[in-house]
Amino acid sequence: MGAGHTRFGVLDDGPRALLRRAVDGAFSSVDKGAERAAVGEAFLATIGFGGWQIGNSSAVLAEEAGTLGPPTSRVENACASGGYALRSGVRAVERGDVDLVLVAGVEKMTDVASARRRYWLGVSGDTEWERLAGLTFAGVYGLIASEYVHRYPNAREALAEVASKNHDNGSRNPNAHFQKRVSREEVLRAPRVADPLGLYDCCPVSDGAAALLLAPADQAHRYTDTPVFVEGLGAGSDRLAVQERPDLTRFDASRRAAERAFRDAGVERSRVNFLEVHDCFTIAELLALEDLGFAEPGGAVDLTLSGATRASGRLPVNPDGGLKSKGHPIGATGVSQVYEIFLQLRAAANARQVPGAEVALAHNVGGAGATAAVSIFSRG
Amino acid sequence: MGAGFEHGAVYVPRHSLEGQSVPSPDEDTFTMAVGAVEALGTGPHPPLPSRILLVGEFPPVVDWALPAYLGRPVALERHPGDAAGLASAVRDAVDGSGEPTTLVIALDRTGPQGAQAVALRFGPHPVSHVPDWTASLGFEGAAAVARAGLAKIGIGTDVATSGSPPPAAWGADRVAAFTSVGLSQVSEGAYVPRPRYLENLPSRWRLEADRCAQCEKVTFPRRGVCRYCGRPDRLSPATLPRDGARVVAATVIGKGGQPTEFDPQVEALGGYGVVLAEFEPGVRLTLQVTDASPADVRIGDRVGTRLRRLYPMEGEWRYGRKAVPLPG
Repeated sequence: MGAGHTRFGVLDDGPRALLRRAVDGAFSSVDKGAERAAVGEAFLATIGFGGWQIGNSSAVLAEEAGTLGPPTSRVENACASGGYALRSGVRAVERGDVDLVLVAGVEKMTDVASARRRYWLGVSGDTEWERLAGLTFAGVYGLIASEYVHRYPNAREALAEVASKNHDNGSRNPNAHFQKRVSREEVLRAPRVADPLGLYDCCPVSDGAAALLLAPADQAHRYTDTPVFVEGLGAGSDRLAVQERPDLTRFDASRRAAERAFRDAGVERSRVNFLEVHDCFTIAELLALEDLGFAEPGGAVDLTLSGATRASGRLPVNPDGGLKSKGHPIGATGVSQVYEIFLQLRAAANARQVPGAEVALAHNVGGAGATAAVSIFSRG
Repeated sequence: MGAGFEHGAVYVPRHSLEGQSVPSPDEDTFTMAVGAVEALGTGPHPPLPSRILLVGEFPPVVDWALPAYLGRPVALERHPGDAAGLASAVRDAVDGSGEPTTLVIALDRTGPQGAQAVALRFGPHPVSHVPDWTASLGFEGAAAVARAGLAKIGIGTDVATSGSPPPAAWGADRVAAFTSVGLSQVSEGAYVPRPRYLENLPSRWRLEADRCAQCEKVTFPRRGVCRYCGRPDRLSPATLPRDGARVVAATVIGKGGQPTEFDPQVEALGGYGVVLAEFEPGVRLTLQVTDASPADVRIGDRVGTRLRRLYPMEGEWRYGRKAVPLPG
């Protein structure tokens, strides 16, 4: 019944100020008000990028949120930390012994010196076999994209469309890291980072925080007349190193997570109005569409090129700009996706509003698919 | 009785300039020695020598690394890298008790023909008692003489050199910048401690895997359990073939896309290719590409794997296998 979000980008604020701002925003968004003292448990999603506070970081959340006293813990599954923190938050609410649960995600990435930053960008893949072969995050997805592009014609165009579309959406998001549009041609011409992925195929390194307030469904009316309900949750895991998976071009963790979420929610895919998927690289959005069951293997190419996933299409994907344009503060991303869904399902997304949005899905992946969380929401 | 000459092989780096072979930046006399031993066929596959005689200049790492590469303790003896040292090593190999002995000669760039390595196997099943051409084996011309001599007794040497000039990025000053980098680096983020690096050597250096009799699947890298059915008790060792894996994915890492351990390499030499190569269905390995320009190896190509320098860490070079293009 509440959600807050900071600007994402290269910011002056440190992690404490970011958390404070996101949590303040979450409390002020509660229509009928909520008390800090009512928070019975808090979860912090963060990887602790750069090592600013590796141990006990959840205590920092409690301090900045004004929720000292009740239990807090950090949830970490690389870039899927946010989606998994939401799961922990929902389970805490379902226990029935707390009024309110706070879920927040934060990452401060731009205050870390450049060489150290690149160390940290490789920490979520397999260290011993992928990193020692010379791959960071981008390199692993580059390998995946190389096989996908080899198999499916027009895939490069589809990758460029994903970047262009998400930048277009981001231009309508005042919190987005990048608010400039970019054309397909610019995406295709940009320097290669991990061929076939180029500069505009890759999400930026961003600072930011987001926060959510959760309450039992039967208490929703105490806080707002327009709550957003968690209809279903699913999550999955897979082998860490992509070399140990049978197929590079699918994430079984995402598939398991989606199947479980749809079963848990009892909702058909045709009822979902829009998606927030994990486009850390453009290739990841194509894989997401297929892993979530909205396209057959290779079918994401045509689905994307048809314009169906644009803001004006029949199944908008990443109306807030996605990780590509909105930014990817690692721990905050999974929480940020739910913030957007909160706005959209309450018809409060202004220039980004998906008309008639009633059911939405968030898809959050850790690293190159070792962990994934899928959550389905509906309008109250 | 003594040992006789059984077999020989020559390793020559892929590229050459003005008749002189030019080692790739990630090669040194240790990796070339391994290259020659692999060409000999006495790499991780039996029959294995119990003694290795080294002739030439070798880095200190060889003392633990060569036995580690072979996967067993071997007696290592060093002889000076000159004609007298070579002669005494040959005598030593022949006069021994007949136990299997491999003699390895390795030269860095400074020989008149450039960098190369020769491996000669002596043992109880000789082809000839002492090859008469070893008398004319001068240290510096060893590879050429060995190739000619071996050919005369019907042993071909499969040399992977293309003779093509090296990529422009490997100018001498750039290679020097890379190879002379300080070895005291410690990775601040993801850091592979030395015991973890050593623990994986059987898979990383020797391509050792486990085949499970229960589910008939191969686990690679080795984990001590079958990664499909979880059983530890029905495993038997299997070694993957060095050459012939097929590339299923290939990317090129541009400047700035590399893990920091590879900064000295990228700063000196530019970006590199990385491939995912498949040995058999379900058995794949991520490998950096070497001996080629980054984009030379493509999906569908078959590659060989070679032991090469990876990156400096805590006082030594770390080594691992990389992918090389196969001829043809």
